[in-house]
Amino acid sequence: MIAQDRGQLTAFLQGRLTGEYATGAAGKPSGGDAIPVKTYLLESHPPADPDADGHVSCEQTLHELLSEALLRSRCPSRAHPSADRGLFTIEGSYRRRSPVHLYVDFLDARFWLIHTLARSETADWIIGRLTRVGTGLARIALPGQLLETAASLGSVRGLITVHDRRMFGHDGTDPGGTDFMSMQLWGRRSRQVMSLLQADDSLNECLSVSRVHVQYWPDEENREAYCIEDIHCDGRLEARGTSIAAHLHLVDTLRDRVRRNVERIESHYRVSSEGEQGSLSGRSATFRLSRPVGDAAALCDAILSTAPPFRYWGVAMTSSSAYSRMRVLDLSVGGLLDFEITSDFIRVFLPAGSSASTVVRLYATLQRHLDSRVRLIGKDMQDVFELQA
Amino acid sequence: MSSNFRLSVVNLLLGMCRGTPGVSGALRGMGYRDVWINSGLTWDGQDRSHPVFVLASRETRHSLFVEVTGSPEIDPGRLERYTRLTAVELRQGTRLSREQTETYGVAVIGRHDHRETLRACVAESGVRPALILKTADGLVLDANPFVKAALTNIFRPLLPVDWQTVPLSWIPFDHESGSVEIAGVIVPEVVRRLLHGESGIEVDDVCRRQVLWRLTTDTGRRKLRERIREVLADAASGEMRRYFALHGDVIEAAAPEDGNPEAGEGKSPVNPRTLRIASIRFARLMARLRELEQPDRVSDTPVDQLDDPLDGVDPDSSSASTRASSEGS
Repeated sequence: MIAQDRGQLTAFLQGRLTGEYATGAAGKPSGGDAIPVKTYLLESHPPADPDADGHVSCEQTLHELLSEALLRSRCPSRAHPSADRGLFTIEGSYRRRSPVHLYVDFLDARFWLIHTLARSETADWIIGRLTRVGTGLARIALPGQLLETAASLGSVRGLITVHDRRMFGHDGTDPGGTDFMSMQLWGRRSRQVMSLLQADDSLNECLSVSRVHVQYWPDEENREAYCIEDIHCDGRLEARGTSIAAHLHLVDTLRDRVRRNVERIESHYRVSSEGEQGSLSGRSATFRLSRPVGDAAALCDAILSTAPPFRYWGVAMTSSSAYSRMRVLDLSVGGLLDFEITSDFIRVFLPAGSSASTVVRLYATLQRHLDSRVRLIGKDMQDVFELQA
Repeated sequence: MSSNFRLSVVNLLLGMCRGTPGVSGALRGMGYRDVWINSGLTWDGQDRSHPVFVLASRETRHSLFVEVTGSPEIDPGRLERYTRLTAVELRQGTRLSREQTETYGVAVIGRHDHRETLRACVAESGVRPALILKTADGLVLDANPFVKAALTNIFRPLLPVDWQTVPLSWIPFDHESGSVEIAGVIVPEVVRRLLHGESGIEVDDVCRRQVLWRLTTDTGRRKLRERIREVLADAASGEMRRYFALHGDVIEAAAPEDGNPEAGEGKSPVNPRTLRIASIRFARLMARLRELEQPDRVSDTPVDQLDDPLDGVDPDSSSASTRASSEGS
């Protein structure tokens, strides 16, 4: 369906979510299988020029994204505007045979939403092309704390953890150390079980929450209107249930939290100088590791491999086993970040103009690939992340 | 630690004033904050290539003018200029407040190796600056205690500093920094902009984006610009020539002529397919600059004997990046 406005889109998604929708020329109620609604939380960067019309800029960005060669050949697409500002439908033909629709909402010019009913494989591929290296769009990374606070908005039904530090090899300093661990907990008591596991230090170091499964209802008085949500660490949400409004409310809440943290980090931590007389502003942020990494140069090499999960480009200015220093280009987010790596901590400086999402993404990556207990601290040892509503 | 002694100490003091984990918070605890003076004080005949760096505290009602020197001696004129300063001039010509200028003093920070010569310089100076020396373990107040006893106590018997891990990225480089430090910051910035399809990037625009630009003096800016342009020209005519060129004062994406396989087809030579090879070439540039700066450094492989990055390297293979890292280390 090509969305005419947000109201029509919401009604359409509600019907598909529950399997209750009108079909046939007569429009008589019939229905079909319930289809999960997928929503991708994305960041457009750099932020639209404040002097320009933000929505025009987003529209241009969207058209540029759709003109990419591989996307054009495998899934020729075009964007249809709607009567509502900031809402577009991407109508495509995946592998030139399967029709696919993605609903792009950039009412928030920086944090976009893309809703779709397409199969995960199809949708992930298209989103992957839209957010490829060098474009103005990136996926949002959700550190474990943000996932867990999102889960706490509703009732937890499952927790999935994945911790994978195999890319660093085994340094031999800890014979009992774990290189890889993945675990799925299902049911209402999964959080309780997780708390028990986290109490054990040797297990906690490899418990990185990467997905939460939560039942959410925005209105306590009406628990019949709910969604059952899979929230992934890469900003993908998949909803089932009875209420698209519940899903959209959860998405908005999560986006607000991401935005608040990103903007807060940018306002306090970006290192810049201002004014004719020159004053310096900004702070450094430090990732405090729960155990030493052993060799800072080896970690520096892993970070600079340009390959996932870190995807940074740069060359160290100084590199030794005790200390490495470099400026990197974050290929996922598109911003710059200054690193100082020691065996006990990683200090970062966010240059002016760079999105704080690069710091958030680093935090999430370190949690899942190096040290699940890593803490991000700012001045005077305060936590950088603000998790309360 | 950076080879640029002055910048290392300034970065350390910035970290101490700004609560950076891993360095002492004693100065911050006394309310000291960094203040930069790049104009407004008339110091004729003096070298103005560096801004005046001040630690100022409303709580202790005190400002400390910091002179850092990596040389065995300090120009007496640099110290004598403070004798002519008045509190009124400070309040009117700088951002220092009335509280911060109630009392003020000068500190010279130098290397312990230069202790005797620096002591002599300090003894001859009319401003009686405090002398703080960098030792292997930290900073020590060697001569002339501060008027604020609590400040003296921070540096006595020793302010411990782990020099291997001091923050260096507040001000990543200045005009006295080595080319490795400048290229390590500037080249990723240029590559970022080329990757996003920009071309025709003004050198002045690159300069304006540096933190030091607004903090330093007019002379400092001119020297900084010269160094940035010099490093960009070196990169553009050397290892990074397939990605960008410097035409006058403008950085352009490299053109497809001259058999440049990474340009053409209407796309930037810096694109997802070429990033890994670009990383290897950048590592080669850094290795060459490092060798020029440290000719005595023993390298496993001389730069001119490193393989050509295009020979036998699959751009989609992760081995490319591994080579880049090893070359850079």
